[in-house]
Amino acid sequence: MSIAPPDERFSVDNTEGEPMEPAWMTWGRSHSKVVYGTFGVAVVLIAWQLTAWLGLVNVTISSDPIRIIRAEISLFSSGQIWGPLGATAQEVGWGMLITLVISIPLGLILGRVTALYDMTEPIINVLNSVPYVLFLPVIIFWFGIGEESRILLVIWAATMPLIINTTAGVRNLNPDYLRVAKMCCAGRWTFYRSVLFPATLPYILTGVRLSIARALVGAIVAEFFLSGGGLGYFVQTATSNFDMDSAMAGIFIMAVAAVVLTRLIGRMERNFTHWSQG
Amino acid sequence: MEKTVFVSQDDPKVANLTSSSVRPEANYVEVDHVSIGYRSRKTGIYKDAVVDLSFDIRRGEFVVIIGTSGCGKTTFLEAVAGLTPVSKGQIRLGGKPIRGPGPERSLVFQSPSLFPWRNVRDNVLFALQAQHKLNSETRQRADDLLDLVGLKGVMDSFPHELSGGMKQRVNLARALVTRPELLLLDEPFGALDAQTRGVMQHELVNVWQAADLGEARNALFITHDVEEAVYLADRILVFSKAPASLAADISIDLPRPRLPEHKRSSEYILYQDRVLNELYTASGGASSGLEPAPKGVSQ
Repeated sequence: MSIAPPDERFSVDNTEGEPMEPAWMTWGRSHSKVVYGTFGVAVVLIAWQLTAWLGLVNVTISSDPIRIIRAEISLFSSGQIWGPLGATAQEVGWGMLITLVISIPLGLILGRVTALYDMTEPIINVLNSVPYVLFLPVIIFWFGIGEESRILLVIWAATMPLIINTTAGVRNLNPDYLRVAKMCCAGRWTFYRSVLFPATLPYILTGVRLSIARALVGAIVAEFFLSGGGLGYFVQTATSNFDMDSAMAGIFIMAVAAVVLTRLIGRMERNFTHWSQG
Repeated sequence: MEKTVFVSQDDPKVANLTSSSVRPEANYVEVDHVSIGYRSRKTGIYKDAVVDLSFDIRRGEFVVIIGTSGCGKTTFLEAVAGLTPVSKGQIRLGGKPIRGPGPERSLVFQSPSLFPWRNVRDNVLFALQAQHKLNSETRQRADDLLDLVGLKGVMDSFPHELSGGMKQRVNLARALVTRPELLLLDEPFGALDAQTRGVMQHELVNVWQAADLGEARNALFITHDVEEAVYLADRILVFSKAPASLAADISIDLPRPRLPEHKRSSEYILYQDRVLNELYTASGGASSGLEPAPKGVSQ
């Protein structure tokens, strides 16, 4: 019935029963989540704008959506934002890359070797529970206030959720897969690459999603304390200069970046692990 | 297909069932006073699964092990596979004791155990990949095998898109693609519905008899289904209830090719009754409700 063209469907097949419905209503029904989500955001923004216009809040302190859009346009047209944005992207990029390279293999091995797992589990739990920001003074003391320290804090923030998730995935490995690999005489490398890694991938990608969120926080915190560029530094400076419009514009850029990254991982999860939901 | 002519019941061959052997060749598998036990991880108590088992399997024999659920037959198969160590005695394969899994053995698992992230073809190719035997010739062989088990149309599908019977066919193709000398099957059709199970038994017989697939190959098949056992086997070993020991050793002297319609013939029924009786006696003497086997058939 879905193959039939719409006009035929409504005029011939559905003389009774299904009432007619305009196309936009059908679209709205199937995208209701998006519609409601957008509506919610719009309500908040309009309320903000109205309170600013009515003088209920002081725009020099709170800014308002239209002023933010203006600030956004000027930041991008003057090119002023590219420096901070690039710096933060670089920290998060390097930090995440190193995190992936370290945490995934480490998580796979820790999950397989019970003795190593038992040895490291308390340490990893402690490192994961203590707020990583607390290590910042120590990191500065050891590595100075350069870019290395900022990247290190990003790694410190991001690595634990990924290790913990990967390890949990390995420990939940279907024992049948292990028996198949053994029976087929798979070597260790084949087992890790062609069985363990793909079997654990749903857990790994969940870990990556948590990791990225923490990496962004790590990068911003590092920029607050270790000045020298980046969006965090930009927002801080703009706020100190009472330029609330630019500060809010910086926060908005960060929000967009976070949403885009999370969506990207979500899409990867759907594409690479379609088999685990089916 | 050629229609098989059955020997009549008063044929001397039927009266002398246990004496015949399929090929009078050297023993391939030697099971030498084997006991297998395991220690419960929780309680630490040691339990025997198999006790003092001794028998030989000749080259080219299709042997079916039958026993009640939980009698230790799967544990024994895993020991032959090399996944479980024996605690006493020795299992030898072509004269050499088994120390672990080997490329000359394949196991068709009870559950299909396919990798859900690989499509049907890649699941079969995994066995070759693991043994570093992946080349254009073996790839072609994988395709031929999938064709033979009736999966030509779904080679690019993923396991979750397949029915239980189709998954088990992939499982079988994966086991056969490496040209094993000894094929181990652990109740492979146990989870299938009766109709699919019948079809799969027939296909297994076909694959087994397919000329291009084989040198003289051995199969060790585990089941608790008497009809299935008689249909497939050259020889049936009846295991007692746990801890398992050998209760009976019955040669099935029925001609091949065997066809599904033969299952209801009198020869097959006689064998089925006999195996069933042995099974009841072996599993603790519960009343079988059956007449004793006819004189010509009893041991």
